[in-house]
Amino acid sequence: MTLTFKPLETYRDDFSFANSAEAIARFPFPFPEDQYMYSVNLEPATSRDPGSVFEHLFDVDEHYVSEMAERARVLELDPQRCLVMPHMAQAAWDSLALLMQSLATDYPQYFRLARDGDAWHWQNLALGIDQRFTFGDPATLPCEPLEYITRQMQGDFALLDQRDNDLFMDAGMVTCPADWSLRFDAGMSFQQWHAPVPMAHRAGVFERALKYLLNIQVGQPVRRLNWTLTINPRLDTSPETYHQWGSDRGKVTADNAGALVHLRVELQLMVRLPRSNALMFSIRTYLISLDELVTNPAWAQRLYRVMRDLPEPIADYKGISRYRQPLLDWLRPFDPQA
Amino acid sequence: MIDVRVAAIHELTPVIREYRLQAIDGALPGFSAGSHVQVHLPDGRRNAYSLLGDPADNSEYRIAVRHQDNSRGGSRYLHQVLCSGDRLRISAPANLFPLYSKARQHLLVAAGIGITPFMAHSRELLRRGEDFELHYAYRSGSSDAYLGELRQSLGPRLHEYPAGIRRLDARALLKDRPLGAHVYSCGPQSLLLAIAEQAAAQGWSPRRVHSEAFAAAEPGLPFSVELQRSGRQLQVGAEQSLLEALEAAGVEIPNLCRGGVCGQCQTPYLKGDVEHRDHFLAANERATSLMPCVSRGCGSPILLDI
Amino acid sequence: MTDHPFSVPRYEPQAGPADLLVTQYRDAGYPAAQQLVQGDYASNAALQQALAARLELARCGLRLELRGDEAFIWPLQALAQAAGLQGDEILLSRLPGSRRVFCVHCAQCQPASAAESLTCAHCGVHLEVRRHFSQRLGAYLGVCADADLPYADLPNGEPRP
Repeated sequence: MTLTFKPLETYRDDFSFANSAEAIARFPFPFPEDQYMYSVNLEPATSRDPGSVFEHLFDVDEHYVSEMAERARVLELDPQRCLVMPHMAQAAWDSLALLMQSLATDYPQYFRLARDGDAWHWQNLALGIDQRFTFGDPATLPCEPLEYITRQMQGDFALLDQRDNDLFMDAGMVTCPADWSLRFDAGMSFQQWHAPVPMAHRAGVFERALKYLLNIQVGQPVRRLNWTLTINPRLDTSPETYHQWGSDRGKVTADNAGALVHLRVELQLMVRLPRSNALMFSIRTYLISLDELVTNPAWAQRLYRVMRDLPEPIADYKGISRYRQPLLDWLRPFDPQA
Repeated sequence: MIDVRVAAIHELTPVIREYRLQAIDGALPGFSAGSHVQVHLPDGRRNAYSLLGDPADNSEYRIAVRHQDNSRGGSRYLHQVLCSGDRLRISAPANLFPLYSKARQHLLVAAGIGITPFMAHSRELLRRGEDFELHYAYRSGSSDAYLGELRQSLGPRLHEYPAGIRRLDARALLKDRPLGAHVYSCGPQSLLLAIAEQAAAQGWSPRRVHSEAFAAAEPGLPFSVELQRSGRQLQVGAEQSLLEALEAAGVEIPNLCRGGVCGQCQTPYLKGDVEHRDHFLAANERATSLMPCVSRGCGSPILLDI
Repeated sequence: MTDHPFSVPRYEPQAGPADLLVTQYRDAGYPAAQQLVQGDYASNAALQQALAARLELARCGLRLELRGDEAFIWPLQALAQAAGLQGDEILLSRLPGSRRVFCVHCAQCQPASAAESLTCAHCGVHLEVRRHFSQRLGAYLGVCADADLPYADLPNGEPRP
């Protein structure tokens, strides 16, 4: 499949973001069954289904240029969405190496990397970047290395330091989160930053997940899908800006839900970084309006059933409760048995 | 799994040899200081060895192996059979002995062949310009691998304890350290215990104390196991670990250290008498779980819940 | 199990005396040389400087006790960890009093009562205080309570209509 970038579209103000038919076809629909229950659902992140979001370790799609412009805008308004504690400097370089190597291998028409020892030459033809630098020397890059490379990568990134048999969120670039704040959660342990997830600390789910993540080895990345709903194709649904977007949830009606409500799917990837032993946690976000989604009748029917049966605490946590009724009214006609 | 070629073998002392391993095709994965690889031996056994090369250089992996008289055969094979140019299979690197990223002073304490992980650690710490010391207890002319190289690269950071001349005193070593100090030990169990006991006695948090044991299965008496789900019966030989017997039967259990430390191979069992030899399971977990890499049957047959 | 969120601190009774006590109120049972008392310093910044100086010279094995309300102890806890103390080498004795709230919208910390909401003194957004705590910031998470009326100026603690 050839990758071409759409003309610049927006994730705020006039919300001109939209998916092409190809992007809809490859959307990672996250519900394998008609019911949804929180689960860890981790699988090895091996390449599968050419053309799908699972083909490459880091997926680049038609929205790349627009999403990078959106990230630049968020950082302009709030530079501290990127945070790297001093002891994470090596993990930041590890990330830069992994991301550059992956992009150059998987998308050679847009990304090129030439290395001669520590003298690196990086070309990002999609964004018009041509950078020579010394690997390991931050003074040779225009900004801190994690910020440098993640300004050129779709999705959010958290770098987790492994110590005391736990993982600590000690670095990251987070401009498109589903309602969590890197600045607040920075420095927290795995269970601490998951504290807001309803009922999770009771079920022991996170103890098991942590044990699994601690043992992820170099060359054996894992992934999972997570989801929520977002009003408008807004990437930056952060707590930082909640007072600007939270009221959108009150605007959903049975008439406009198809245009307003978006299914937001996170392809979460966990990779052991070789030199630092840190764990990279990348969160690649895909948005699809319900109008676009229901072009696939099987998805439409299933989404109706999942939304209908979603337990109240999960609906609350995901911020859906306020508009669940008009959403169900809009979706019901797509379930022939409803 | 990585296929490598033995690029060179160096005799470091009469009982320790270094092996340089290079990828047969492609590149070797990068690794962090403190990582080890498992070397797959022709008889199906796998032994874990620390990577001692510079983590910044992944053109080759370096391991060092001490010949053990009481070995179940791993070190004997490497010392007596393996030649330069031979092929080997190794697992990808895994790290059970990393540097503590927030430490402000690192105290590395090695005895004998326990020096190997610290070869990588000290290179990494030198590059980062961090505060560290390496304390090395050895026997001159036999277990003093890399001594000359370390004297040259570390200078006053190296503290030597030659057997019969200067005793390593854990109490003095840990005394009056600044608040950000962490201690790492690698060597025989007696060294690890001495460091841990002194650290506790001086009020150190256990989180400041890191160690890597010479972890390897010890032989025992033969015993038998049954697999609940398939109904299969297996005999475990005297020189074989339960994990090795399972692998020989085609049952793959995730594992990293093969020495009862990392907890990866924890396996549930339903009945049988188990001699637990691991350093991982809590007492209450031992009623229902065992670590097949080191633990053995010692009475009625074991029924594994797999 | 309780529904106590994992990030929210638990204050468990600690055994044994510490080597150094930093406290809001003098403890006559401690030798003067082993305690730093808030009232002896012109400001919290001066007290923090004094603690930093003591920790710079301290040796591994030191047990530190921080005693006071949450607004007092958590900035000191962060300072002690940055100086190299492990969390389990710091005893926390919480007294009733004020806590700190981090306004996620303007990234400022402010003192607060135990009330479940307050108006941010810096940006004016009316905040709901969530049961989520950052040890690094020493503060609870404050997020806009009502996105339909972000700047509603309600008195502290008054229940939402």
